[in-house]
Amino acid sequence: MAANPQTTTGTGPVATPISKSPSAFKRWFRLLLKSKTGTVGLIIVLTVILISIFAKQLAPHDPNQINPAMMLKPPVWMDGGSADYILGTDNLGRDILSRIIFGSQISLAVGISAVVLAGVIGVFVGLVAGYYGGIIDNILMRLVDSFLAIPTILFALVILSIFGPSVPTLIVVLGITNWVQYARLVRGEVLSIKEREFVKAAKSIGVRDNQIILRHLLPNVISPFIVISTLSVATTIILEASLSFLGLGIQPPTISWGGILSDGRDYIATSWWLATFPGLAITITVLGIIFLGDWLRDVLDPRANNGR
Amino acid sequence: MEQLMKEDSKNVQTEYLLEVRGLKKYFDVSEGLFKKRKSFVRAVDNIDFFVKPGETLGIVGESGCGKSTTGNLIMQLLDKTEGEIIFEGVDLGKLSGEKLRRKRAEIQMIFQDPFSSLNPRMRVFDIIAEPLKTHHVAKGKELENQVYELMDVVGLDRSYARRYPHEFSGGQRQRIGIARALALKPKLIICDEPVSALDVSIQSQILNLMAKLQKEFNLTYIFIAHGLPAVKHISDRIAVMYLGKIVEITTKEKLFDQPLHPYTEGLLSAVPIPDPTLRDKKNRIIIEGDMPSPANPPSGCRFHPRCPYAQERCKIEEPKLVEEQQDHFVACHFPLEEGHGILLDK
Repeated sequence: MAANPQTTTGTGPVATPISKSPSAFKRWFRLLLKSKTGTVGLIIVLTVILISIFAKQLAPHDPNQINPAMMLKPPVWMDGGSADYILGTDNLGRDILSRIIFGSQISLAVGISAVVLAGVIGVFVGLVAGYYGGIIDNILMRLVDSFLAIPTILFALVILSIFGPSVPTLIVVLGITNWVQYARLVRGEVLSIKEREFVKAAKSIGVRDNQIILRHLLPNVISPFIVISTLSVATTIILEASLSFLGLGIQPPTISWGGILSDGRDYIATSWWLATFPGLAITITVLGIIFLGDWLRDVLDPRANNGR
Repeated sequence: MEQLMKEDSKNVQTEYLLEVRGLKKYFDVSEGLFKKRKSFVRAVDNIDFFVKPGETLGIVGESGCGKSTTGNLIMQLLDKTEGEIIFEGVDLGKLSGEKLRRKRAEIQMIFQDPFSSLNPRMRVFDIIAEPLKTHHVAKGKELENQVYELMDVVGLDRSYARRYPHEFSGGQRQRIGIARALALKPKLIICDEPVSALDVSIQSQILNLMAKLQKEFNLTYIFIAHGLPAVKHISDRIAVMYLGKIVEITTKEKLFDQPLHPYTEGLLSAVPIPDPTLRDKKNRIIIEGDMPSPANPPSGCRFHPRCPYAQERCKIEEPKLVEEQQDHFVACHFPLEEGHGILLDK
């Protein structure tokens, strides 16, 4: 709101030197400092990653330690709260903070891997369909349509009940249900970019199709993809929560944020902290990823300094 | 038999670098689920021309007359419907795969829009190096040297190599495009309105550069433009296209001195004349109306609805492109008499 105009315009002192362009790393770093949200995003994401790596050291309690004496303790700042359980305890007396700290491991792993898997499939299909067009495009896009017609949750339930719920299965299921949106997005972008003259130029030079796709199309479709995929990490974490809620997601004793969230749903009226804190963890992480994605998009665009 | 014929066509020595025979490109625009209405846009409809080594052929016509399509067809960026494109005695339509890729490298293109013809995510160096890398012409230090040489040739400072296209002006971007086109030492360069997107002050710089390069590397140009002024200086011969057809093709001098086709006369009228005394003497012919749709071209001579001299015959019979005078081909039943030209400044 009260942004300092000097930092928002911020071209003057950091303008590109005329004779040589700065190294990629320097440019990234400069862009990072320029973008406040990018810095915040990076800090959040790095923090969450560090927390998940050092979960054992950081968690004050064993996250699965049931303690009947300590059931539904409120957070420390409320009446009846205990300094031992900063964010309170759940219906089985387990420490919420420890559960959230351990839950970050699975939630991040599932969320990010599923999006990466979906992204790889979707971008590949979108590039091929958009570039080659014709019959290939038709077949691939009808496949996409049929995937869109299947309700995600239903599809996930069927697959998970056939193969049994496990982390790898969950990643694959979430990846497979998500790739269609990337395929459609990327195909649309490719359709417009492949008519640009630099693609014609590449063809007349004799550049092979795979090189045109890799060098000319991919870099130019990556920005919208990054924006959508960061948003999608969020929905994936929530989808994983829904599946856990339905009993086909992450199975106890493995902990995920979605799992904690659904465990707490029954107590939302009486003990709000059970669902609120894991929800907050999801929200903050997702926000961080989105901020980081925005910054990443700028970094990947050579025109970022000039705007467009 | 076929083998023999192939051998034969290989041995034929032509004086032309490129010969186009009966070239047609119809775009299918059929509508309806059951394809009840078969209709085509006749973007290029049976055109013939040739290009001699070292010369510049200008192709002129309004937007939508098929001139850019012709360029794309020669470049093999579009598949032709019919006809032959013979480059150095080889029919490009009969080549495929790797052979086509190699042969096509000898024809290059300079594009109209310097803003969309360069990949915004590649550095200048990589853009110019791409053709060299693709055809394994050079590697490492040698590649670097060749790229820098190309930058020198088109007048780009070497220090620009690590920059991105968006950091350049239109004229400089066009220089990058020219350097890329030159990289493979092509024999023929198709210039698709290469200066029409540039500022007037920059246009002549680029045209001069192209003329210089033509001499230096013995290049042959096909120069596509929508008006005669743009091709006036650089062309040796000029083809005038109208609605997918070539209506007149001859040397620049003859075209300007004595146009035979009424459409050419109209185009000449549109050329601005700086000298007011000359301008007043001249009858200005203004071609009225718009070009008809190439999906549904007029009967007979395609120009007759807009032609000030049209007669009954023009509505029925389609004129063929004939050599009315030496080296002067025209497709008109009633070619113009002398005195419709304009004086060509030196």
